[in-house]
Amino acid sequence: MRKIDLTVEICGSAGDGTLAAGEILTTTLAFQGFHVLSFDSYPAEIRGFGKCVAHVRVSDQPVHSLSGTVDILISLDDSYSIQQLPTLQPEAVVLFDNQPLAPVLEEDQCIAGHLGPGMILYGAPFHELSQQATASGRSRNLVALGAFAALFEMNLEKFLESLRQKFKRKPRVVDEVAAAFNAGVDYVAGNVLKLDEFSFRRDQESETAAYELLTGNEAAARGAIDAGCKLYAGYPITPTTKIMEILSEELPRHGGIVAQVEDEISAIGMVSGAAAVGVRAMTGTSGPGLCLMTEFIGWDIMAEVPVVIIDSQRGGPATGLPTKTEQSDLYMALFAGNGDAPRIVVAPTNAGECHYWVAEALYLAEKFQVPVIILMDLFLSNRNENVILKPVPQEKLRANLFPTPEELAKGYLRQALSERGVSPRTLPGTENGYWVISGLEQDIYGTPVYDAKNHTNMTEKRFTKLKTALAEDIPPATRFGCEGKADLGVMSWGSTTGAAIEAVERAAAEGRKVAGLKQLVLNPFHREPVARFLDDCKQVLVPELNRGGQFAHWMGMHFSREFLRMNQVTARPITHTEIYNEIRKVLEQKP
Amino acid sequence: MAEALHFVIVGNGPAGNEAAAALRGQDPKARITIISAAATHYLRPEKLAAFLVQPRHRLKDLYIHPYPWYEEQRIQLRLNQTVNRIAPEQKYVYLNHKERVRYDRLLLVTGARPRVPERLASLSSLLTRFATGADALLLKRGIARVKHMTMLGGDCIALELAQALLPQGVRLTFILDEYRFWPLEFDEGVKKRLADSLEKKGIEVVRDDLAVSVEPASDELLVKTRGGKEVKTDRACLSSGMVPAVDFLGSAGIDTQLGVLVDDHLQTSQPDIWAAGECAQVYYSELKDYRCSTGSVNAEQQGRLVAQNMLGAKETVKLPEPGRVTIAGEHFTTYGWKGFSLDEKD
Repeated sequence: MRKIDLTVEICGSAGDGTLAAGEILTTTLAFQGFHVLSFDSYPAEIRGFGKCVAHVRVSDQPVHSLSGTVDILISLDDSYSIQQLPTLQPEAVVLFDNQPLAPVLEEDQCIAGHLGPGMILYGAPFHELSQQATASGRSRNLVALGAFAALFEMNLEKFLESLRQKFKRKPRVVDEVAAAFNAGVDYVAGNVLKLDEFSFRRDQESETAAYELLTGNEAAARGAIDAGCKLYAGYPITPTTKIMEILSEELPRHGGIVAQVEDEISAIGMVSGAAAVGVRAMTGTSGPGLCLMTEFIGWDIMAEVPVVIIDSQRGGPATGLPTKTEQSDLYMALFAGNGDAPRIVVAPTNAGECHYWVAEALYLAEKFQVPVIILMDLFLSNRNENVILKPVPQEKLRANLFPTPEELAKGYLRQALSERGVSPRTLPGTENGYWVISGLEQDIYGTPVYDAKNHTNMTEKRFTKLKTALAEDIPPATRFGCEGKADLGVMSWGSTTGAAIEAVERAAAEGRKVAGLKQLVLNPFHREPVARFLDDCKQVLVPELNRGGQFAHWMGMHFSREFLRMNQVTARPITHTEIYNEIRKVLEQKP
Repeated sequence: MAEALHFVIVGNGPAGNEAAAALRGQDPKARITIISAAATHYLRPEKLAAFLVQPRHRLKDLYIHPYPWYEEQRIQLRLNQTVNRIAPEQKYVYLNHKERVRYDRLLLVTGARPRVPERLASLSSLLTRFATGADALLLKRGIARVKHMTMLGGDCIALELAQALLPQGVRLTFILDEYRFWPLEFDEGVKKRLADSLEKKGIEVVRDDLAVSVEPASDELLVKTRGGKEVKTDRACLSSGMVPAVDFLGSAGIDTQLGVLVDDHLQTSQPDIWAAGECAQVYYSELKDYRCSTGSVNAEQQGRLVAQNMLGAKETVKLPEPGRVTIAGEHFTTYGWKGFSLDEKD
């Protein structure tokens, strides 16, 4: 049973330090033993205007998704914060700057006149206190955090310790940061009467000390390092730039390099070239970049080159909504390219899986000589969460996948046909293992040929190796919620899965016969567990962040079944509350 | 089509809430805003003392209207927001947090606040108040540590508080000053009998004296009287009656004396501004004089009446009906207070 399950939002204008405050709060709450999941929304422009919102869900139990409602709102800019009010709980708390810089505010500029009657308003002069404490108004976000910490009974010592950690590389500002924070604390202690019942006081130590706080991007970068990736080539693009930033610092320490190239075609080209000569390599992009990489993906499939591509999806098409999340690249990940072009597509559902599956993808790519596309999304890339990282399969990653000299001495057929569909691969320069890398169809000797029978065999080979991957490495979908027959099943993929898990578990805990199925690897996938799940469920709901239900359609291509689609293109993640409400709606509808 | 009028009500007590409800009843299109420095909702003040000593009682249990009522009535409720200035010519009220709100018709119903005798004004921060929900909440959070409380004045609010605290084992001292038993106007004989009855209940009563200073003394407070008596206490509670809360009116050009001066239609000296309840000093044609009224019954009645007048009527305020009060077994007639008894737990 959750005793604490609150969502805090900090809302301000770009330049207010909104997201920095959110990051500090998330880190500190995690440090104080809470399970957290946080996510920022921000404008596409670099700086200067536009609404920024840091969402932080805090609980004493693990959390998998954002809540659809907000319990505590810290307003650093009232004109933007007013827009957040529809998501506030009826008895939410709002903390605002009651002495802003403006000489006078009209009603539409001040949040105070827009609250619901059950809400509680606390004011503190963020700007003034910042000026007094640091001779600058820039620390008003820290004053707000101090006020927040005092109001909601956080461990102030631990909070200050978190701040010192955060700013340890800037010793000159540590004292100012602490002064601004303490100014907020002191103001609340002396001037504010606490009327609400929210509290982040912890009476006992939590088990979350073993957890790490990571974003999906950080976890993915860590996965690349842990798997021994030696080259990351990319072109900066939201939301995957962070992966490149992290790796540009970390990879050189591990004997690797990061190449920032002129566009995504170059990125996939460089990765393909490196992978072809035996360098463990990957790239990362988002939808527009994946579009540009399409031709090379086909080349990698034909030439059987092991590349890994992260596509962190965002609102599209084209540049679309660069800083908003979506799950609308599934068709492209599954099908982009000419010809029959099988590839592995994986969709991690949380940061822990981003870490593990980047490593696993590098392994699968090499073992099966195939591109692996990892479908993340902006929400998954940027959200911060507590995770315990699963060790990457080092033994597998170090295994020698190449033929031995003895085997090569007996004769080498680069495109040899076999039951597994995996032909022996050598690196350029290997004695007795010479071959020509090409995007042309080849016969078993590696010679370009165009006859029908060879093309049929080779096409079949490329599909067969995915069946082998399925048999040898790829896990089946996993079920959650009620066991046995269910009135409703919920199938999910990617970052929406966390919301689906919480919604299904809530419905199941209420006695509803609702089950869920989490599909991590979208292609290829084990048919039987999905078929069994579909048989068990009277109806099946598929929540997705795209217009038409791309995953529902993908499943529909494999199973003769009607799927109830729950589609949103709202530029924000689906919440567990929304899925739960949809579950109830479906179950309460008369047949 | 005429634009909806914006009625701004400054104050969240009985007069303001009754006025808001009446306005809504008669003008479905009106925009109605209540702005109040009070942090808590409109509640039953007579229950505050019981709330103080009942651990499970929540403040929201005392609310007269649950918050959805305001949503249903489309009344914008702005709590914890203080009006610090009124500009009648521009028709704006200015709030402490630098916002200004335009009104078409303004109602002042800011109620009353505990009187702070001049001699204690500089010690105000050390003194406990028990007039609002916020006061009660604050006191309740520390009540377990209160073993002794001293009432500076001895008004009827102090009597209510005493009635709740005595059964909890809290020792009490009453330093009775000129405002003892406010707002009840008794002759000296009755006042003496009441003081005697307090002593019979085990309360220490200091008569014919005044608290002149309060100072911290380790974990306690030391109250000194003009007569040289010193009382060590955990809390010193202001109980010298209430005065209309009209300090913020300042340079608004609204005539005030003790309270906001209003005519017998509750209209202030400024157009489109009315006042009612405990903040108002009302002209009663029967008396041909002004009088401050007390108590929620008066305030509610005035709230309903002033709403009519704000909508264009010319209703005349009447002298309050007498109320019946029972203290220490004696029955008294008073104006302004709802009939109540301080004897229930005798």
